[in-house]
Amino acid sequence: MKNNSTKHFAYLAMLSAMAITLSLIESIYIGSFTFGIRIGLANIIALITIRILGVRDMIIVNIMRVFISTLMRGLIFGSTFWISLGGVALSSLVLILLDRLHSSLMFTSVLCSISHSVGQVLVVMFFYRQPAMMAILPYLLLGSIPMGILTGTVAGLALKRLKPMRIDQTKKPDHS
Amino acid sequence: MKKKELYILIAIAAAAVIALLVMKQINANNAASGSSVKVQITHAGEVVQEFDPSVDAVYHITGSYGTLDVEVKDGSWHVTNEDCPNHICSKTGWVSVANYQPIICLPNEVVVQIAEQ
Repeated sequence: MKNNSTKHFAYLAMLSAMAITLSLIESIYIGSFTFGIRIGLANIIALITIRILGVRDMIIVNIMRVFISTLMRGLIFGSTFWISLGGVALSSLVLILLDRLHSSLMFTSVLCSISHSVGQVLVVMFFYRQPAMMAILPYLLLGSIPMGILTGTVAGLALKRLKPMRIDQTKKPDHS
Repeated sequence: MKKKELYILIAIAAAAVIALLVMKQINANNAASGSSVKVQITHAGEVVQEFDPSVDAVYHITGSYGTLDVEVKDGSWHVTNEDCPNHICSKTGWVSVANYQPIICLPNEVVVQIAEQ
């Protein structure tokens, strides 16, 4: 049992590190395409974490990723930080809900990426008082679908090679 | 992917496309409804400059992070010489009444948008 909890902790640390690295790589080397559409590489890690470790660890990984990646870029508690926190909060909620509903991985991924962009736009609309930002929401929604399929495919490939450690995962989940 | 989930995704995509078309239509109506359109530059919610897009000019704006210029030419306007980390405002490019999109610079809290009629 002790061995298992150590393994769990190591997985959590490794996944957090990967999420932070991917988030940094994406913001530095890839950036955003037109209308602020981004790939959302760190969402891959969120998906993998909720499938192999569970809901609580997914929340830890997501919060760590927002705090540490903005801290490393020197943007913590700036507008970037609050916007990405809003996106992560909404996408985490959607991930938890879809996990309860046992949705397929691809659908979870697409909805996660949609809710991430919706959360960001909501933060800009209500906390920065820029309701005009709503105009880019349709572009973001259309862009989120291919990006969600992309991250879902990558997460599916990774999950085929990883053993789930969730206690409640008695039956084998389908990673399609 | 399950069938039901696929339908939900298609519904979301359709809603986005419809929203885009409605926005296009509204912009086209605005373009048709007249030349007396005023464009506002706001900083932190307050209007700091109002201009007529048919008059060519350069407006110098001081934002919360730095300064930026709004250049107006041939009925279109864009943001140049901006002092901000992400340059999203200048990447928005040239916009006009017919091809309208608000230009937003979050670090500067500056918005360039058509005034409500």
